[in-house]
Amino acid sequence: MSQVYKRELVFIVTGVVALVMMLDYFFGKNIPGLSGSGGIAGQLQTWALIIQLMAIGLGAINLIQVHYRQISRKTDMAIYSIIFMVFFAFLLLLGLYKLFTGVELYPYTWVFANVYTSLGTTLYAITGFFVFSAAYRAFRARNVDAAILLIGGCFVLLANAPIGEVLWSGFPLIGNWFNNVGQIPGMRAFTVVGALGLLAYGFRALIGKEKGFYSEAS
Amino acid sequence: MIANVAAYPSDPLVILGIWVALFLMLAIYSYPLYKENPVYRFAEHIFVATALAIGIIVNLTSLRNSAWTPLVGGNYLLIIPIILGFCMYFLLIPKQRWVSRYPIAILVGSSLGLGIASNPLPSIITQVISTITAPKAGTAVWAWFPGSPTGDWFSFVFVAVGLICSMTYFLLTYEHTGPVKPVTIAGRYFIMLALGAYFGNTVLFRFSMLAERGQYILRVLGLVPY
Repeated sequence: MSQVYKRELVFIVTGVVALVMMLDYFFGKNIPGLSGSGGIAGQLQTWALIIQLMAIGLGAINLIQVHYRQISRKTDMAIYSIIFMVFFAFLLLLGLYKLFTGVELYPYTWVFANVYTSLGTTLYAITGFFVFSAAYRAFRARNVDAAILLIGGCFVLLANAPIGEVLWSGFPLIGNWFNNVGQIPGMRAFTVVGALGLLAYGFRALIGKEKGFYSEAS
Repeated sequence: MIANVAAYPSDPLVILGIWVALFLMLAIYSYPLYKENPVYRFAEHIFVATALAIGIIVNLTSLRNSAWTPLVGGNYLLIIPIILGFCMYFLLIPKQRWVSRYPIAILVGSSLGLGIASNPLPSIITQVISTITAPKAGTAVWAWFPGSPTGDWFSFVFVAVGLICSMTYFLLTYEHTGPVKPVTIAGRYFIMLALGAYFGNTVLFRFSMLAERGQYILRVLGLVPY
């Protein structure tokens, strides 16, 4: 009996929710009470959103556990874990103050603008360094495949970089052709194959063949 | 010459802010430029703490708007997803972990339902229609800037043949031998061309972001207008 509500019932819930969503997409206008924000499908989407929003606490608890362990074991990284804990607690308190009173304190805005936004942009741009070394490794014509990759990449690069046009007026012409036409077959194949894969995976999940995301359900 | 240039900040707190941002930026770049070091680790932990705290506050604000306020306003049905949200935390208790499968079932079910229903039209049907729609009569055989992939006859044939070859490459239910082999090899070349163009665009985008950070350093140091 315990297996029924631990496994089978879970699959049934997944299937019913997915079915409601599909019915809403295809026949929403014809079935009363299904579509719109007050309909069953709309309600289920709101439920999913609320569950998602509440799940962030799991990540927070996990991170705090990891750093607490570092501090209690007095490892080499403990000092950084202390910095993490102090900064996290400080900013969380400022944020909670804003949430409950509606008043945004200057330190919160200051940290958001000068620490969070700046570091976020910096970390996003750091991939520039890694892309450079990846480009060096990828753009070596070791065989025909790599040579084609090199040609496509170089023409697109030189079409967009100002130096390309200075070197040869044909670079922008050919590079733009690669961008507008040359890459279409491969990218379109990725889109179609990815969609077919999603359909196959979705149906497998609906009939209970894919269980990984339920953790220990298999 | 340069019209809309803001003046260098005069407020001490703003100046402190841009210098702190610069310090943290250089601390992060010390990792790829030098190696992992204490200054980098400090900046990294500060970022994780900041991102987590701000993420929690943003989520709590959304939760208040989408769950708490309507619930207090009389939509008592919303108590169910709130309870289910708390059920997610049973993931932390190994023996009661199965309870968390119910909120996950709602999440997976809604995502799958939407994905299965909405994906075929834009990702399969539209793509196939775009590929088999021939150019209108009188269209040029060749054009450097066709405007769309089927804007000239050469592009139309190129895309159609390329898609068939590329799709054949992804057919994994049988061995690629005999007459299929050259088709899959051609498919691989088409895919490589697409990946090359995609990678070229990625390199450009990442470098433009890096260049923006470089400009930020120059602006803070006062070497270019702020």
